[in-house]
Amino acid sequence: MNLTEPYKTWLSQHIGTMIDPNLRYVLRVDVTTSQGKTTLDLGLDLTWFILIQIEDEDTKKLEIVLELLKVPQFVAQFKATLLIPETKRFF
Amino acid sequence: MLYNYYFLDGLKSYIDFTVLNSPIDFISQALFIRRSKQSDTPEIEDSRIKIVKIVLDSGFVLPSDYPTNSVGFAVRKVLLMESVADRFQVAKHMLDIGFQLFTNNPENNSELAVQLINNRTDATCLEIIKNNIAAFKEIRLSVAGSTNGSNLADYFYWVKEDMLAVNFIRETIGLDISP
Repeated sequence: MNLTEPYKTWLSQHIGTMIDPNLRYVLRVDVTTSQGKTTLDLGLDLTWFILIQIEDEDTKKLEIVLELLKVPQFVAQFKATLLIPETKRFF
Repeated sequence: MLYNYYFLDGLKSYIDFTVLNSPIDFISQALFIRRSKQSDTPEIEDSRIKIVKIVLDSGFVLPSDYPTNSVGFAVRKVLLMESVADRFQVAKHMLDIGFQLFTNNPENNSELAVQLINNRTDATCLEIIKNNIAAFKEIRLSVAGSTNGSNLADYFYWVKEDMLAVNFIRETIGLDISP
């Protein structure tokens, strides 16, 4: 995909050079269930991974994500993440 | 994440709240999720209502399997946010899409009914009352001397001594003071 600057540089610095809408980024979180404490692996698409896990100002993160969401494949993956029961409760 | 108004506002056009809502009750979460150890401030109430408005304005449809009691408590919460000027409009919007005015908690219901009658000069509040007359007739409040609870007319007559409210209840709701 062709990203313009400054988004290209930001993504390269925070994510890497391989930007693929279909990639899933695993976020391991601690959860407490009736059986006790355990961990849960959340499979996030790049947009949610940026919003939740990358450290930067909210304005910058949202700006990058909205730029990515101009690409239909990213929109599809963003929406797919929202449909995962284990994942959406963390939103 | 989505209770961060900034993110929610930016991403709202990509989110189907009707899907997001099941099994998570997004509007109730927005209204009730604890924001601090203290009671809600007007600022917190404002941020809660802004999130609810985004969801309502998105064309949100109440799922048929939505827990019945939750829909009542959500509306009640909005209506009791006295610092929110347009709370009646927001509540009316919620009621229009299937939320319910009252819950299965009689005490909560009577408190809310009295609040609404006290705010009947607001046109939207009045509309809410008129749309729920049957439910208002069922409200029972404990008044000293009554065994089975009193109706709203009795309450405003004997407890509040508010004849304007009694007249309103008589003419609009169709309830009169018990003989």
